[in-house]
Amino acid sequence: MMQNELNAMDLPVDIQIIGVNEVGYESGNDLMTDGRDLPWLQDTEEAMVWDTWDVTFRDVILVDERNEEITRFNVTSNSLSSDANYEALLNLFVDAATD
Amino acid sequence: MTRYMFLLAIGCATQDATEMPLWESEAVGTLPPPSLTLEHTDVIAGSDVLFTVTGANPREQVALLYGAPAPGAGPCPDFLDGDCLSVSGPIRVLAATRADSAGALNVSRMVPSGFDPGTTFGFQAVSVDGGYSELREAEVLSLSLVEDFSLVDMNATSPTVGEPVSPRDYLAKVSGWYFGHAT
Repeated sequence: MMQNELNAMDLPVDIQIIGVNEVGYESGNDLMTDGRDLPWLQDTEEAMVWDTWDVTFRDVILVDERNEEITRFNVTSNSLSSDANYEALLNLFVDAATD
Repeated sequence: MTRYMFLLAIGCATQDATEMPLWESEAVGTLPPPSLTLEHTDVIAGSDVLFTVTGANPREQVALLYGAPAPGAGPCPDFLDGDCLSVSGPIRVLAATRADSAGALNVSRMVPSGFDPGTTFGFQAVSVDGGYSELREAEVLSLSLVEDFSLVDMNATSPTVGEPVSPRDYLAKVSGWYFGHAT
């Protein structure tokens, strides 16, 4: 799992991956968290984070230590089943933690 | 060195020290002045700044001041025994509180979003026993922060299950936010 890989690198800045489930898909929470220990947040009608962050389904949004957005990486258009895409996302995290 | 008791005008970010005395003093004994260390996170308009002061005497009253940077050229209150502050007017009190038993304190203050980026402030910590920190100068930064929110962690095996989670929890870390759902 990418989080474990990043933890093992002992980078100068800690990295945390968090998931945010879309409103209306609450029934999928158990499936999405099965076998995973990453935070999995449920968006709400009040918060509407998917809207305020203007996301596309399966975006990974990297945020730096100051809470500024660094970049977005969509794992539908860049499937992580591809080793190259997986490495690309991993390297984005590594670069963010070492710049 | 004479130790003084502060009667501090308890500070807030908008208090103007020129309009009222920061403190009055009364000699109560002798202790060497502690050498304070002041650290802080980035000063970002619209975001919190965490100030950390160490090196005070246990439970000592400490004031955190800010104003224009003026190394050694600020006011010279009696309790500094001939030394002068390194901030100049108007000097404002960010906090006036007691250090913990280890002589440390942490203070968090919100930087008003209206603060002009590029403005430089000077911060300095002073203590009742005549100690003071070096001047810390900081430029106000204007960053395009991600919109904050607070959502509950639903993962029963996550360390933060049941707790509200916010992007601001990950200041000083890199975070990756995956937006998905089971299909």
